Amino acid sequence: MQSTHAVPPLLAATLLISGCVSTGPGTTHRSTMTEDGRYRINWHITPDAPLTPNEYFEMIVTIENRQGDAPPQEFRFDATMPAHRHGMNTLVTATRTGETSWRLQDVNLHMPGEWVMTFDVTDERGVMHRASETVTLE
Amino acid sequence: MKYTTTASLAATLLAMQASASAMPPPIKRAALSASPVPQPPENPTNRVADDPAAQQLGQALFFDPNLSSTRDVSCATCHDPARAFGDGKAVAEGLQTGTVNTPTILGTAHHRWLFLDGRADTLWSQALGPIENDLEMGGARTDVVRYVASTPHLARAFTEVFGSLPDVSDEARFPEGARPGTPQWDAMTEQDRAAVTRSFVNLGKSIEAYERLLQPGESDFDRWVASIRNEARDDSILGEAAVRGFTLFAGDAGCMRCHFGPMLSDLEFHDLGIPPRDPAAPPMQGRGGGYSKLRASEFRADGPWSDAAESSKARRAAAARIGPEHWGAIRTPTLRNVAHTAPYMHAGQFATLSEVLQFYNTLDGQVRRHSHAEAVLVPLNLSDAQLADLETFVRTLSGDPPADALRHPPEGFGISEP
Amino acid sequence: MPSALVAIAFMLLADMDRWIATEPDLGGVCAVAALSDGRVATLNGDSGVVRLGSGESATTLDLSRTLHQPRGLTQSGDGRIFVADTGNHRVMYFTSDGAMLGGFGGRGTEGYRMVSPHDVAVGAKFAAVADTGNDRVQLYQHGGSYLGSIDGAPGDPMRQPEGIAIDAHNRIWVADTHNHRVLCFSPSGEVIHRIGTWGNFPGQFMEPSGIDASDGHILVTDRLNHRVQVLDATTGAAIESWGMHSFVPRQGEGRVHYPADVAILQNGDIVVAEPFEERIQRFGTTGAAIESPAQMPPGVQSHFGPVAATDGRFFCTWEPELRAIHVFDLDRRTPVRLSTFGTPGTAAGQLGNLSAMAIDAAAGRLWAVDATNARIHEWTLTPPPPDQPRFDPTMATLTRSAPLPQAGPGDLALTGEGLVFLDRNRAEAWTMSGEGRHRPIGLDLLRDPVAAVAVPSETGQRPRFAVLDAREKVIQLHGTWPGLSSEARSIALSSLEDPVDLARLSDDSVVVVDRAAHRCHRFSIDGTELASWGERGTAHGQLWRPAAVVVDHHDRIIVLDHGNHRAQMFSPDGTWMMTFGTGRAWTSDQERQAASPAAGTKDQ
Repeated sequence: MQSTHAVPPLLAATLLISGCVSTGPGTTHRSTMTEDGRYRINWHITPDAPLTPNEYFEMIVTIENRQGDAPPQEFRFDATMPAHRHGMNTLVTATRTGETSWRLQDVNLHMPGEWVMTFDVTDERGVMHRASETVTLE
Repeated sequence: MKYTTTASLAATLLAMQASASAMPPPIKRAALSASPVPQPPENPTNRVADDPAAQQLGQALFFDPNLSSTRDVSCATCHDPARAFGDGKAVAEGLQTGTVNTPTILGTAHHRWLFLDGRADTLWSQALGPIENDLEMGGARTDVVRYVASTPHLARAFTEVFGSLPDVSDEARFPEGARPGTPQWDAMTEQDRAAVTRSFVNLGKSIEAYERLLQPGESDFDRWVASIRNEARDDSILGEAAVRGFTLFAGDAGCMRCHFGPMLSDLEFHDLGIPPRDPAAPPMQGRGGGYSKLRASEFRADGPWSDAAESSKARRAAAARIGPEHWGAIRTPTLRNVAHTAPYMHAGQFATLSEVLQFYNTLDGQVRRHSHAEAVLVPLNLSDAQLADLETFVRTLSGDPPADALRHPPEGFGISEP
Repeated sequence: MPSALVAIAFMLLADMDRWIATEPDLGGVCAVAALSDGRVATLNGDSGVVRLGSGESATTLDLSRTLHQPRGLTQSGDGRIFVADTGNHRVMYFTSDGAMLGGFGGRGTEGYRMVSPHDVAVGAKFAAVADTGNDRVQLYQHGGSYLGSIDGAPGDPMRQPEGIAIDAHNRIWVADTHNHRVLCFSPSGEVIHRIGTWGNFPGQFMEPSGIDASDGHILVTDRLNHRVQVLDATTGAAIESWGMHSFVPRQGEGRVHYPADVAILQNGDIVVAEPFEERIQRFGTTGAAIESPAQMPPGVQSHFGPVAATDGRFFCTWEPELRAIHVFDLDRRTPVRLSTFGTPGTAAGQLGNLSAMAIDAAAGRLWAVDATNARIHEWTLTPPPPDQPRFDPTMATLTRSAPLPQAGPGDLALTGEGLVFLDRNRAEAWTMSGEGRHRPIGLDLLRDPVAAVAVPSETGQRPRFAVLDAREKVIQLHGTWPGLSSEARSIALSSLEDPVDLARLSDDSVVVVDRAAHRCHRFSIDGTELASWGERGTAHGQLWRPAAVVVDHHDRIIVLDHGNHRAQMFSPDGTWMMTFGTGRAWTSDQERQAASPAAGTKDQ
C-alpha cells in the first residue's frame, strides 16, 4: 500500500504581535525588536506556512544591528508557555548561515495556547538582548 | 462487528430533535481539526512500512505465540482485537504482571514516540521490545530468528520481503536464549550477533507494516464533523448531549489543550499527578527515564538499524528536550475508541470513564510530585450533567473496527486464533 | 483513603522505621562529621562553635574568635579537626581540644587561595577543599602543600560545589551544588561518575549540599528536595532516598527539611544536619527503599529563597525550588501575587541561584544577580492598573542578561542614579546596569558587607548608603546623613548574633534582621534602639531564621520569614500586621475576629 499522508485541515493561528511590522508577503514574515532597540530580528517560517500546534517546522532569522556594525556573537531561540510554566519539547538547532542569519530546525510549539517566542542576541561583549513575541495557537 | 456506543442509541433517539444552533467558530475549528483520521505519517526508517508482503508477515508474527519463551504469549495476548487491541486489564499480564496499562494500538502508527514513556521512536523498534521483555514475552532474538527460519511459511514470507535469512541452526554458534545481556550473546561473534539482530529488526519492521493498517475506524464524531465540513451540520449524528459535551471538551473544560488533532492526543507527555497504583513502588520515571533508554537503544531511528538514519524523523530524538517537567510524564493517550479501553490511566487506576472525568473535575488524590506538574491543570468543577455530557461525547469516538481479515491470524501461516 | 494519603502515611512509617533520634535546639548547626571514637561532631555556623559528642558529655570548642560563618568540618585520621572557615575564605585546623594548629587559603582566585569554601575532606593520602566561590575543588598534601585543583571536566565546569568527601579508594566525591549533580573524580582529576540533573526523581538533585562516603555507599543531602539520597559508589546508581518533608516546617522526627550535611558514623548510623530545624537527626542504615516523591503541598511552593526587594509598592522574592520570581502588589488589603516567572537553567536569561534583586516598577524594571550563572538579568515590568490587580505570568519580560566577572552573595541597591552591587565575597561595590558591571564606587567597606540600602541623592549630592557588615557586626553609614554627627558614622550591632539584612524607613531609622536570634531590631542612625521584636516560633509575629527585610512606602516592615516559608509584615514598632505567602494571607483584623486564637501554624 502506498501511504498517503492526508494533511488535516490546518489550524488557523492567531498571531498576537505587539509592535511588529510585517516585512514580507508570506504568512509568517515578521520582525520584532529587542526591547532596548539595539537589534531588529526578521523571521519567517520555511516553507511559508501558518503556525500550527504540534507540527515541526523551520525558521529563517536575520538580525540587524541598529546601533553599530558588529555582528551578533551568538543567537538563541526558544519558546515557552508562561501559563503552563514549560517550554518546547524540542531543542532547536540554530545553524549560522551568514554573518547575521540563522536557520532554525526542529521548532515545535506542541500545544495550543499562548506561547512566547524569544530571540536572544548576544553582542560582542557577551550581553544577551532579548526580543519577545507572543503567539496564540488554537 | 461494530463497537456499540451508548451515544449511538442516544443519537438515534435524538435524531429528530437535533439543534441547528450556531456553533462558535473556535468550536467549529476544533471539530474540523480533529477529524478525519488521516493515513499514518510516512516512516522512512522502515523501507517496508507499507509493503503488502511485509504487512502479511507482520500480521502472522503479531498473532504468533511462538515468539515468546513459553510459546504461549503473542502480541495479541495483550493487544486483543476483540478489546480494541487492548486487554481490558489494569496493567498488562504477559509472562508476568507488568507495571503499566496496555494502550490500544488502533492508530499507533500516528504516534511520534512509542511506549507510555517514549522509550522508542519508531513503531518497528517498539514491536521488538516486548518480545525480549521478561515481563511480557521473555523471548530471545536468536531463538526468534531460528523459529522463523525453521518455519516454512514464515521463512518464505520473510525471504520474499527481505531476502535470505541467516543460517542459525548451529546452536553452538547461535546458542539458545542468546540476546543482549546474556552470556550466550556475549559468546557470539560480532558478525553473528549482527546477522541475528538484522533479521530480528526486520521482523519488527514487518510487525510495524501490519500495525500501520490498524487505523481507528470512522466514528459518529467523524460523521458529525463531515456534516459540518459539508455545510450540512447534523447534530442528530451525535445527539444533543454529545454536542454539548464536545462544546465543553473543546471549550471551557480545556480537554483539547492536550487531546487535540485527529488522534485527540498531542502525542507528547504530561504529568497529571495521577495517584500511583502502588504507593510503595518507585515512581514511574515517565518521559525523563524513557528518553535515556531511547538514547541508549540500538534500535533508535538514527541508529544502525534504521533505513533512514539521516531523516528528519530520525533527528527528532536527538532534538528532544528533556526538562524536569518530563520526569513522571506519560504519553497523552488517544481518545479514539476510549469507551473500549477501560481501565484508564497509565496503570489502570480508574475503572471507568466516569472516574476519569471525576478526577479531572476535582483533582482529588492528585500527587503533585514536584513543582513542574501541569500548571494549568485545575479542578474543572463541572456539574454532574456537564460531566455526563462530556462522557457521552467521548463515547462517540468509537469507530468501526479494522477489517475482519486484520483481526485474525492470516491464513496460510498455521497460526491459530489467540 | 486517597492514594496520595496512603503514600504519605507509608513514607512516614518507613521513615520512622529508619529514624533513631533527634537532638533539637542546635541553633546554627550546619555541618556534621563522624569522629573516630564513634561520636558525632557538629558545627554551629552562626557562632563558630564546634561540639564533639552529644548531650551533657559533649566537648564544646569555642572557635568563634577564629571562624566566621564556617560551613564544613571533618576529622582527619590523626584526630585533628578541620573546619571550612567559609566567611574568612580559608580552612583552619585544630587539636581535639580546640587549640589552633594552622590554616591555609585566604581570599583569592590563585591556585592555593579560596573564595567562600564550604567543605573540607581529609583522606588517607590527601585533603580536598570545596572551593565554592571559585567553582572548583582544591587538593592539598597532608602537610598543607597545595597539589592542584579540579575545575570539572573540559567544557563542563563545576558550579559552586558545597560538599566534598574522599572514599576509601581515594576517589573524590563532590556535591556540585548548582549543577544539581554529584561528581566523582579520580585523584588525578578524571571524571568517574556524573550523577544527576535538576529534578526530584531518584537520582536527580536540587542543590545537593553535603556528602559523605562509606562502605560502598555515598550519602548526599539533597537540599531543595528535602531528602537524603544514597548512591552506589561503584555504579553511581540511586539506591535509596528518604526524608522529604511533606506539608509544613516543623513536621517532626523522621522528616527532613533543607538538610545541609550528612555524616556516616563508625557504627553505620547516619546523621543529618538541618540548619532550619536547628537540629540533627540520627537514622539507621536500614530502611525504606526509594520513596515515592511526596505530594507537593501548597506550602512547599512558598519556599521563599532568602532574597527580597521592594520599590515601596511592589514586593518581589523568589522560590529556589521553582527557580522563579514572585512579584506581589503590596497596595492591596492583603498582598496580591501578580506574577511568577523564570526558567531554571544555565543559558543566558535562565535562572540559577539568585543572590540579590532590585525592583523599580515606576521605571518598569526588575534586576536579579544570578550567583550561579554569574550574570545580571533585567526584566521590563508591565504591572496591571492599580484597580485591576490580577495574576499575569507575562507581566515581566526578560530583556537583557549580562555576564559578570564573578558573582556571589551580595546585595543590590537602587540609588536613584542607577544600581549598585555590593559584592560580599570581594568586599567591593560596583555600579551596575542590565549591561553588567561598570565601575567601582568609593565605599570604604569592611570585611563582610552583606547588605546595603541607598538613599537617592538630593540636589546633586552623592547618594547615601547604609551597609551592614556581618563580620564586624556594624552598620556603616556612608555619605551625608541629616542630623548625624561626624562621630556617629556607624551603628554597632555587637549584641546581635547573626545580622544578615537591613532596610531603611522614611525617618532614616534602619531595621536589621538577626537570623540566628530570630529577631528584628530597629535603630535610629545615632545607634539608639527604637524597637526590637521576634522570637523563634511559628505563630504570627514569631520568626524562624528570618533572612531578609524590606520596607514599603507606608513604612511597613516586611520580613522574609525564611524558615516558616512565609513573609510577615510589621509596623515600625514591631507590631505584627500580616502574614502572607503565595496563596493566602492572614491579617491582624482577621485574627481578632477569629473565634480561635492564633492560627500561625497554618501553612501558606
